[in-house]
Amino acid sequence: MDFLTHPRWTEIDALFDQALERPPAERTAWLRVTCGDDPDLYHAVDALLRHDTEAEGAVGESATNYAHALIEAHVTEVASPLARGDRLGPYRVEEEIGRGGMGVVYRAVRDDGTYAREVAIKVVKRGMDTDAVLARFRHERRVLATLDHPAIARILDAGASPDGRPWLAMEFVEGEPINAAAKHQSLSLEARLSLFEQACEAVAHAHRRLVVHRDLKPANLLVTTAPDGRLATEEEGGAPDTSRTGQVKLLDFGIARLLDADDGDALTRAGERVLTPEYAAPEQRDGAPPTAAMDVYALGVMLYELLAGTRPEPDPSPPSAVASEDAAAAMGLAPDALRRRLRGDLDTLVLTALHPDPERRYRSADAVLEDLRRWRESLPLLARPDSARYRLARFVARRRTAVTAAAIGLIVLASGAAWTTWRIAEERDVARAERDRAEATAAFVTDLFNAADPFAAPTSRADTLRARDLLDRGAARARSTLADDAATRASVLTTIGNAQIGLGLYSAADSLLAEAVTAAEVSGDPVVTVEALLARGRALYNGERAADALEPLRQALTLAEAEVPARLPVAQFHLGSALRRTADFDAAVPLLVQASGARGTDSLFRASVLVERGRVEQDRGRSADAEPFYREALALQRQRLGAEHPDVAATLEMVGTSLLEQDRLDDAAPVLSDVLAIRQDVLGDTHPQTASARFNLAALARNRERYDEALVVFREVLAFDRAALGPDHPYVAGAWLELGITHARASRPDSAIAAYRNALDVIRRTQTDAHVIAQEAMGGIGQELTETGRAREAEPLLRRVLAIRRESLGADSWRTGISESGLGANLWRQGRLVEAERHLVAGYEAIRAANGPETGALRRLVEFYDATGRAAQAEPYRARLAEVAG
Amino acid sequence: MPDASTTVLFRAARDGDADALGALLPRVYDDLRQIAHARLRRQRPGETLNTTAVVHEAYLRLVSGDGAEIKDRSHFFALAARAMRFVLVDYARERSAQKRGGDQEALSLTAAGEIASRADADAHNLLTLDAALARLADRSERLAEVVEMRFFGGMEHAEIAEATGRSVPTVKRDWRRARAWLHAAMTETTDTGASGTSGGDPSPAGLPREE
Repeated sequence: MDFLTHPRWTEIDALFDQALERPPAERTAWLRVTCGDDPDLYHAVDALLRHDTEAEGAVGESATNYAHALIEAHVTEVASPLARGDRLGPYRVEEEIGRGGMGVVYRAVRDDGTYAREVAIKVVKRGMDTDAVLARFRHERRVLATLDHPAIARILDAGASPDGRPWLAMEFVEGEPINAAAKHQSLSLEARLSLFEQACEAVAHAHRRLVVHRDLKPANLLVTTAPDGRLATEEEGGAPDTSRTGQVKLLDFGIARLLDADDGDALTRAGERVLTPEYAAPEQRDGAPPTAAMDVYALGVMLYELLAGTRPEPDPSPPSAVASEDAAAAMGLAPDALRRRLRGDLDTLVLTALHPDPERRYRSADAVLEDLRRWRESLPLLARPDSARYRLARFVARRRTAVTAAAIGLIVLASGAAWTTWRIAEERDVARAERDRAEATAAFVTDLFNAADPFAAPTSRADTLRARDLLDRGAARARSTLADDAATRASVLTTIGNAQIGLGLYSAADSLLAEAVTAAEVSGDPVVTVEALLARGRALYNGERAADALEPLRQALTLAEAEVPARLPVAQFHLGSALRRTADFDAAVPLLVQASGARGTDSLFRASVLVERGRVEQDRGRSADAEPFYREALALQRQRLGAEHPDVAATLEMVGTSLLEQDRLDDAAPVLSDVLAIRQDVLGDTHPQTASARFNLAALARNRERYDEALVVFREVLAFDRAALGPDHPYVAGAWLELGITHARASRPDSAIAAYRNALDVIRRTQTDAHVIAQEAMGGIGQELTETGRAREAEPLLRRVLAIRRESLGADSWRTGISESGLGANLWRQGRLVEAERHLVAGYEAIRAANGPETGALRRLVEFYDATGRAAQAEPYRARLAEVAG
Repeated sequence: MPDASTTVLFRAARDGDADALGALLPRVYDDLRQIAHARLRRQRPGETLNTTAVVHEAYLRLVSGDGAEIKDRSHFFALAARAMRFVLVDYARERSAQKRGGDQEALSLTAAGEIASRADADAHNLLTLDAALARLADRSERLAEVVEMRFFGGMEHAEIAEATGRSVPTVKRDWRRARAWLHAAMTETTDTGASGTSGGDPSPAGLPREE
């Protein structure tokens, strides 16, 4: 939208100004109110405000952000080239013929009177002669010294320029890139394959010497324009038959790797960046260690281009399906004739060479050569086409996002029918393909059900029920049709279990996933087993059975560590989450730290880990320490999801509650209002998460002493949770607890005690007394009894809570401190003043040291010293009270 | 190093000599390039070249050449801001043109590849921004001017207020709304795939550069 030409620009502009004067967190709410019934105006201003926020990060305040790299690149690349006539050792520079990141290549001639000869000289750029670059130069020289092949440009000489920059003189190759040569010279199919074979021979020569080129592309595979007499006389024994096609020359081993281990130092990690993504294998782009299969992939891309006349798409169709009329014409063939010749073995050969899975690819250039020879001799290839099931899985994976929920049933049924007709082959690679398929299908179905997940998008209850039915049917079908394929059965059941977790059907998920774990263990497939164990653990801890989740999650962690390292961070995250829920914080933290530090994880995963890490601190009663984790997670989520996403709201909610716990009510109010606004917008008014947002605002109302307002909302929440989650759910206990606290604050002790007792009854149905709700309820009952003259009755309860907290939270948690202060008050009421003073002071100190909410404990201390006639001792506490209570 | 001729031109321009002003811009342009390159060479690895510092150094050269306080310092900065914009945009154009011609790249080495690819991204972003800024100038010369002074010239709000004769709050607000507008224009450009003057491949990340 172009704001400046917007017909209502004046209004928009004025509101934009006014909004900017408000704190960022209040703007949306303010704007909503101000725009009233004019949504168009609201959206226009809101969009402008969003651009303002994003522009702060994207545009910034100064061009400095853009300038540095630009100027540096200009200085190092454009400045200080060598000029025609400059000398390097015995060579005289003729012209620049190429440039790259760290060097420039010149054509030069030897003119020291021995004999005239053209060479290509690569010189390090001025300013680029750092140790790392110099090491790379030496490295290239060493690599080239191990290679001696007519199709590899050889190194001739090396030296340093007068200003100390090293250079390499190489055989000068005059020619054009392999794909351009094939096109310009209208080479036949056979001639193309012959060029490709030469390229493979050069690469195979390197592979046999454990050198991986790592940057194969047409620009590095030149075809000399004519049979080259000069070269033929240079090379002993002459070149192979190049009369029809010219000689291929492989150049530039600048980032080649020796596969033996001893050259690690010379090459930095940053140096392994891939610079030609079109030809880089997927695992190379992901930074995997070098393998010969990476070069095979690049060769595969080039063969595809040579045969089909176009570069392969991701998940490429066979060349026969895409070969164009132009390509056919260039080869002197009718389109149909070309397609016929490609179809079958050549398709298979090309697709095997550029298979995304390195395990399914040719292992080295020699293996490609072997199949080329077999094709020529009409023998069966060693490569096998992907199975039908493998292709279906890839199709499903590709189409994942395009398929709507309405298609779920169809796909589940279709894959089910397919499962029964598939035969399990013996080859290991086919087994792998199955696993890939299962994973792809799993991701697919999970995605679909995430769409049906009521927490993922506003949907009606009917949709949820339909999803539920579909899941049950899917599970039944998996049991019957996959009875003799344990791995696939486990994988499908895991998928369905994960979808049930998404729907909140934790106990159904748990029993299904127990079945999945058993099937996975029967299959012996570690990947499937890890996934099943992780899902089971999630179902258990989400269903408030965190202690039971520990065992499967520990197994998943051990197995991932040993056999599936890619899933290790996820296993650490889930085990850490379960441990937090069992209040074993010291065990949870190192796991979460490892998970968040893992390399190569998704930023949204990192955000989840950070939130969990924050929750550990919050559960420990260190809300101030929790906040930075939440803020960091928020930044990651906003970057990926935008400002109005349920996940962003969830993290904001954690920020809000941590502010509440820190007694920072004024900071908490706008944050919690934002949470409610986002959820009302995105999820609707009756969604459980909207209810939870309202719940937090109620807590805030209570902390601001608006008790009746708070009670109304807590009662709504109670009714909602009971209906939605069942009468025994811990949330129901939580709602009772909040009602109890509110009554207590409103000085209605009997109502408070009744509500606390309800909370305790409900929580004890599913949890031990160590559960935080049980602690709070017992503490609350103890306090109310104390305040209403029943202190002796209350004391054992209070001591029990204190013991539980010392055990689970440690003596330095503010929650332990609150408990201790409460015990002090109780003892005071009983007239045991010496004991009382000790606990009141110790409790307060603990709260203060942990930056907990100190007001209540302070007030008690002041009252205690005043009542016992020690005004001087009351004084510092009174001063502090004035300070914190504002 | 004093640069008397620039000083003389600046004085003349200040006194209303339009030719002097026309001659001044290329000089400041050259000064900025020279200073930027020199600073870059002096810097330790990891240090970032700060464009505001470059503009200030150019100013200091001018002052030391003049030997006297320049009264309307802010006018020099406004001029330098425009020159800085030209310098950076020229580098960016050069970069993207070079990239376009570059399939004969025989070397694909790495240490500097990092710088090169960042420079490619920055060039793209800067050209997108420059094109958006040109469009903004069609809508509102005033807003575009504020962007130039602040973004390219590193001028403080107060300096911009002095140079333009507007109040500081007005300048502040203009900067915010101009920047929001630019961001809207730039993201729109990226969304529709039209890459403005940049010519090269649209950067996959669109505009933003993260800190």
